[in-house]
Amino acid sequence: MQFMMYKLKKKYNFEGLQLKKLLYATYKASNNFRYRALFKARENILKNGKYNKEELDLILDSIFEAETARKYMFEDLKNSKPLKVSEIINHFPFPKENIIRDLFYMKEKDLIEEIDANNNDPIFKIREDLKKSDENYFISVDSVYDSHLCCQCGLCSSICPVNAIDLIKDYLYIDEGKCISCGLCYEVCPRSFQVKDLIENMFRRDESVRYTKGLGYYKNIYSARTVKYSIKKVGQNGGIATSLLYYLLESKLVDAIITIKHLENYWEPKVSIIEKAEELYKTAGTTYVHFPVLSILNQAKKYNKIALVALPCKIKALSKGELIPIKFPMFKNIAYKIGLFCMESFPYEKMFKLIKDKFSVTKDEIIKMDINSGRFELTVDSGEKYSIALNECNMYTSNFCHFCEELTAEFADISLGSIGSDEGWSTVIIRTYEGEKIFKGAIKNNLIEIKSSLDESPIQSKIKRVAEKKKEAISPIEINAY
Amino acid sequence: MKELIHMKYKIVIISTPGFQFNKDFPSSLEKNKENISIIINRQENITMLDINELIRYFYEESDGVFIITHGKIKEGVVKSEYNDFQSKVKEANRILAKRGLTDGRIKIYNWDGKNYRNLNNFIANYFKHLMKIGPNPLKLEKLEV
Repeated sequence: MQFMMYKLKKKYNFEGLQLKKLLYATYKASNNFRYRALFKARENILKNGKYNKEELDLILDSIFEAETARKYMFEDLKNSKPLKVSEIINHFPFPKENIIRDLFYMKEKDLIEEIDANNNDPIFKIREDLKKSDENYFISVDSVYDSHLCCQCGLCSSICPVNAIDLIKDYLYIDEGKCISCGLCYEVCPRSFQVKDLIENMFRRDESVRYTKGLGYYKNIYSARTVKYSIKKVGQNGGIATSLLYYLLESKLVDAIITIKHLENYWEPKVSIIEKAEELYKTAGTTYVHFPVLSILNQAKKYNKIALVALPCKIKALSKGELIPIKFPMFKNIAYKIGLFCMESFPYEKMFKLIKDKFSVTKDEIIKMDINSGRFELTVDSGEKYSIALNECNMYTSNFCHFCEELTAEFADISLGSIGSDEGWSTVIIRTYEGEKIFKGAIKNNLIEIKSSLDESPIQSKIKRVAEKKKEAISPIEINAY
Repeated sequence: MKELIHMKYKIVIISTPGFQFNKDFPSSLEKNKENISIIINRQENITMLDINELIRYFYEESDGVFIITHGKIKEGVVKSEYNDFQSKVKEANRILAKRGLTDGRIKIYNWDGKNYRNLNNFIANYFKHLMKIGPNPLKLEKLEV
């Protein structure tokens, strides 16, 4: 079947629209708080150096044009009866994909209501109380952090136009003196307003993907492992992540990879940009300590194509960032998103407090950490293995993990983990065309071997079961910040 | 085309409350007075005008906006505010151009007391410019409807 991946169109075309309505939408868009804040701080932003003039113009233009389109749609829908998505698509001359994105975006921002969400062609209407005013304001991402929801992805810090946000050792600092109240940090934050429906809707339109509640949308599931000995030696389970990254760099499908690199002190890794395949050996293995992987995105702007390896919460942040209608330069070169399964993660200090409290071993003795069958496992250099039930680790877990419902990085191109596969093998969930392409490429290049396709197997049921359990345990997040 | 020729141009002149127009001011428009209606809008802090306020005039079917700022702008806060305002005018013109209202329909002129005559010439030239580029396309759309 022809792959039908949903892609947003780069530009809105306003030709052929009634000028009166378009000018009114333009006037309303020029009142948008983000556009005004960014325009006002233009000189300051350029002085800060994160964005150059062309990049800033693109950001401003994309905000303005998307806002104009939304205001145009909003004004028209305000005076109409509730309409089906298909009717709305026919009603406006904008790209179909952008209309769908904007409808869900307006829904997430509480501007419109979705009636009968389970229908494949849901109905939308403008919220009655918003018919007079459609402008809402975002505060800074501070509110997310103060609510203990911040997942430390680092995206806010990466996109902040005036470098007002810093993430240092699990703390988020906002320099109020620098902040220009543009609300961009809140807009991109994966824990502010949710875009799950929007992203899911995007996948739903691809007829070649399957869906289960636990795993989300996917094309295929495999059990696989690396065949490269040097990777096998250092890899976590099947060494698939390292093999895929090796393939991407060696075949020049990407220029660089953003991932966690282990420095001299193995258990104190650092978010890094890797350009050479040999450096990948320093990235193998898992520490279960979370890092603001996306905080480095800004530094990777210079590459044409990059891949990124991250936990589900970070991948979700990235997907939201790519979908919102603001053309940040740091999103345009992300070619592949590799997600890692995650039950929960730990702040660096708490992780070693846990190890000290529960196992009485030192950092230097540890050679491997793993989370398997509901237990946190530790292997030390003597070969001895320790383990405790995961629920005994709860008090050491990052706060934000208690609000996370994702196990398998549902919005990645390819998701990897150990659940469902035998020891020494990894479970691989292929979700998109890009994911399929690199997985097949790595097999063809003799880097990876497949044990079995897990589709319809009892092993697949196991991941589904664990993923569903994680989802069921989480209550929905709500922050009323605008 | 006939309607176009006789279409009245609506021009908004924005100035500070204390600004006194030269008694010769209307003479520069004498030739075109049949075709022009002028709205003089007095604003306390002109440089604080926002882009959306400038765009609004065109949604309300104005053909041009002429802004007269007043005072010395050599240095300090005044200069910085004036520069910011100039950027806003430039941006408003850019946005309007994207919607088909091209050729800089918003003009800004700083009057510092010495260049009274220049102001009259400047306004006259601005009117000529507007006549050349034609009316706000909104009016044409209305005609078509």
